[in-house]
Amino acid sequence: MIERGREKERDYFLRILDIIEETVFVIDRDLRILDLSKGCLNRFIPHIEREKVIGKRCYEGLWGMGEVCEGCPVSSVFEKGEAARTERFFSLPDGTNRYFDIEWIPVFDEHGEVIRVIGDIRDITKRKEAEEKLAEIVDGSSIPTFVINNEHKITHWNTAVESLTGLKREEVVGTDRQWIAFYAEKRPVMADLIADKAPASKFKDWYGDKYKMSSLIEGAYEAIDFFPMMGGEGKWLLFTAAPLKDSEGTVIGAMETLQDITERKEAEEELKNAEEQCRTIFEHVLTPLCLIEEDDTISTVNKEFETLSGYSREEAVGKKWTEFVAPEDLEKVMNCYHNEKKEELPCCGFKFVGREGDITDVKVSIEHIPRRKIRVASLMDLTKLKREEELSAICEELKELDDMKKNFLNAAYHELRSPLTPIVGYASLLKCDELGDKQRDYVSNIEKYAEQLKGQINRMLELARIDGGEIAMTLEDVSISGIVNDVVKSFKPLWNDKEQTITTHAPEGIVVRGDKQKIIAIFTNLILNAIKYTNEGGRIDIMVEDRGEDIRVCVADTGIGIPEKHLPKIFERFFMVNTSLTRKSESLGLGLSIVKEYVKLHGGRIWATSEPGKGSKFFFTLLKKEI
Amino acid sequence: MRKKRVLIVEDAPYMREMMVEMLNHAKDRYEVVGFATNGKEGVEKYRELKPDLVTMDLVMEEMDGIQAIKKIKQEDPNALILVITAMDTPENRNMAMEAGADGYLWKPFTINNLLDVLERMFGKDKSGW
Repeated sequence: MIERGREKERDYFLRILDIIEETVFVIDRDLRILDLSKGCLNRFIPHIEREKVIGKRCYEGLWGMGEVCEGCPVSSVFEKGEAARTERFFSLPDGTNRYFDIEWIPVFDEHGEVIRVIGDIRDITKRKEAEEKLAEIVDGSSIPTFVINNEHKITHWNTAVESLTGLKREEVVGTDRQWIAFYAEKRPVMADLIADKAPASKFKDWYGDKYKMSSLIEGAYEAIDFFPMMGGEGKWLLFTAAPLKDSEGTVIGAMETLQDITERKEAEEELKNAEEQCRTIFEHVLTPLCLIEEDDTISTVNKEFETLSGYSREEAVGKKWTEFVAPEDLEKVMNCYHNEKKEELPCCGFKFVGREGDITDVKVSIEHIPRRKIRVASLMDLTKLKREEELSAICEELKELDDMKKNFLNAAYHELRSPLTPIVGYASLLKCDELGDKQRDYVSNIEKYAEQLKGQINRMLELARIDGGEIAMTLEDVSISGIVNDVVKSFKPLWNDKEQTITTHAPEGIVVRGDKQKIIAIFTNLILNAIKYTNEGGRIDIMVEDRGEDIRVCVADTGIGIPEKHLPKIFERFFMVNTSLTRKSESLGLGLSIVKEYVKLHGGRIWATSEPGKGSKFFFTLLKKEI
Repeated sequence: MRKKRVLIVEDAPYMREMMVEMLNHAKDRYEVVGFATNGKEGVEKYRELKPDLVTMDLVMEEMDGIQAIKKIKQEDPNALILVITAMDTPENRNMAMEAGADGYLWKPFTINNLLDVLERMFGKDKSGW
């Protein structure tokens, strides 16, 4: 009964084999072929007759080999009862080479024993050939390229992508870690999205606006992005991912190519900078410039051109350049305009017509840029240039004059002072002899005027040294009230003689960081002037005011005063209010100019107010801290 | 007391003449023993005459006064040197002092100015500054 049942079951099974189109065969524990399906015979192994292979071992009957295939999993399927798979290359007896994917499925009896194994063969030769071809293409390509399958596993990773990413194929092939080459965190690369047939929204999620559909390859996308992780300073990559499809059009993976465009990007950046620089120069150069299109219209002008022409940029743009040329010069400029000799820039002078019809003499040079079909006209305002040249010549002359003056002063000082020595010396010798009263008076006069001359010469020298920047400041803390009192006291014989009243208002404790000798000279000069120019019985007030940062001093007298028109000039060198021959005071007019320089050396300023007949007020300030 | 022997180093003839006149007014104390018209000659005359005092102009041809002072002081640190100059600036004074001058008199000067400074230089302090 059991046997018959089995037979029945077997018959049933074999009958199925006879009719099914699948390419399957059945083997027993000894690898002997028990049966083959119709499909197996018809389609797959047409040269084999069923009777000739039944009972043979599969390696002989099917593949025509002398011994069991290397790594045959069949015995393990019998033992473990688990399905297995073989994917390998076979050279068939008919001389064809095939790649087969064979699935080994165990068939159990009622006791759970494996009694036979079904081999389900699929011919994957075409797929394998395609894969090999792809590998050949990818590996042979100098473009960094990698391929993933639809399970996101990397199948190809070529040498070029190795050197771009620094990742060896052994490290990544077979894994789905393509992201580590580009990103710090796990995320899909473009090939992953392609392999998933992801909708556009996904691309947007991951690439924002940087991606676009490829115009060359259907279903492919490309993008440009910066990868800060890559190659030390980061890289700009242009990457394109395209789907890989099998013969039925099913997506089986994706291929992504990469292009390192860092240098190009940097060059673009540099170009952008250069353009910006050009624009800045164009705008800010002190030369009127305009760009002229092929049709003779002006396409842009710079600020200087606006100034020269009187037109705003908006007004000037679109005008023909000929509108700016006086009719009589048009032919000349036209010749220059069309002269395209390479050796030298064509240039010529002409009368430039501005907005109001105003004429300016200019010189123009015209550079033709054939590649961009434009001309750059740069203009030179000759009137302005001439004026500037004249001014600079005058400046030069003045400087020479000033140098001459300085040299003269220096020389004069030495030449004037040398004869003074014997005058003073011999006058003093003369006094050693017996002299009458009259003679003694004469000698005193000689000495007095020699002394005055010495003072003048010394002041001249001082100014020459100030001009030469040879004045050194010896800084110390100077008590102002002390100086005021000392100076006033030292002139007591003078103001006592003239019965003048001097009041001082100088709070004690005001200290200025400055050059004591020069500050003394400032006070001496102003107070002495006040005494000199104030009549008998007049009064002089000296006020010192502490203003925090600086002090302000006022020396006021009730003297003859200074006419208003002279006030701005009194601190100038050699200036004297009274130039009449009958003047009472003797001076070369150098005193106040030295005072002014000394005040300036102390970071202060000096000025005066006056009412002729009523008196003058001299003010000056001194910084309390050194400058 | 022995007369002090003076060497005058000065390029202007009228200055030499005038100084002799001035020192003549004190001939009981001073005697002009020689002249030199530049620094180089001054150094040579100093070696030859070994004077008690040298008056030294600063601006001269050949060798200026400052160099001459240095040279003389180097050979004889006890030499007494009086600088007589028209260039009365702080810089000049410092230079003269650093070179080793013992006194300083600026032009123009009177007979009293000259005799005063000499007296001080031959006095207790040996300094005409």
